[in-house]
Amino acid sequence: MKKGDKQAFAELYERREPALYRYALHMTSNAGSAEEIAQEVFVQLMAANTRFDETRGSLEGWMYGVARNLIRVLRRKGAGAFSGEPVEQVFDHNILGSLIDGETMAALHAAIRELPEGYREAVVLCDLEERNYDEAARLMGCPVGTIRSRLHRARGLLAAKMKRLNVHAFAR
Amino acid sequence: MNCESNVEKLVELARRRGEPSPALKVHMRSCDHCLDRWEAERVLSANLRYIRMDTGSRRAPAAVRVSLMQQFEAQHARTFRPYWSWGLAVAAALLLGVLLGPEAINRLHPVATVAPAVEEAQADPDADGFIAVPYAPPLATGELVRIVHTELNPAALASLGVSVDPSWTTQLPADVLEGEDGMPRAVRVSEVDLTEGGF
Repeated sequence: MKKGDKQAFAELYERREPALYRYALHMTSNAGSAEEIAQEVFVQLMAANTRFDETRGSLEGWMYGVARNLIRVLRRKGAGAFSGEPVEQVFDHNILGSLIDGETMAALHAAIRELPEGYREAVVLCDLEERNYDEAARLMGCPVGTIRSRLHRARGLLAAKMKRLNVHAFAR
Repeated sequence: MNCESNVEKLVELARRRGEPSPALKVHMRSCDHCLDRWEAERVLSANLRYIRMDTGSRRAPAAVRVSLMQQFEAQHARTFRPYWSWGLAVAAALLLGVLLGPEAINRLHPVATVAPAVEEAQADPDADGFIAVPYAPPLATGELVRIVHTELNPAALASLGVSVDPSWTTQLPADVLEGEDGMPRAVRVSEVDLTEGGF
């Protein structure tokens, strides 16, 4: 890719973009912002291509770090910066058809959205993207124990909130 | 049993759709806190699983990919252009020099209208029928001069101090004596009978 190999760049995009986009989608709760962030990560990768030092960390970790910074920048600009459709509206609820309770899902999305950033990131990476603790720790740049404790605390907050809302599972 | 460590186990079991060990089940029968948490974790895991299934195939629109590929191509085109442009510029300059070199040299002699033959000699401007060009700086002693064989029209001859009939329109063969600085110092009209025609 450093030599201008278009095919290599295309393969990297195909391999990394979906998860990166979903990460941004869950972290911003907004499809438009997720799209902008995913695109900007690859733009910055092109710009940083010649100075990216793989001995200092993985490319994937670097990309998630860029995405995290962009999310923080958007958040600092305020809620209005998250342009486009809210996350609940862009998800395809047709998959499970009649099993779906729109209100419950909206409540869960809202509960995830209200989590502190570190907790939310742990839920997104470990539970929504099914990363193991080692991978999540590498992407978040923190110890495995920190990820594990953040996830457990986040789940405790979510479970309590869902219980207050008397939410039941869609599928067991 | 320690409820705090039990909750940690229950969270991991719920995430992996596992079942509590018999000992843990016995504990939960007598511990509402752990039992409630276990139920809540199972519900939460099921709902998160649903979100995962619902969003698992989501990705950025194809337009993002197209845009990025175009940017990638443009960036690398810019990167390599200087090398190509330098090479092309040098090649173009060489070609131009080869093709236009003689013509450009001719144009250094403002009075010449055809490609002149050049010979170098030490010459006296007033010798051999040369007429000194008015107001031209004098030649230094021993200065190397050259004689340019060319054709001049009457106007050009007049500008060099040779008096001709202005109605004469044809080119006349002439020799122009130039100093080392390329400035004409003297001129003579050759191979023509000035008594004929318009003279």
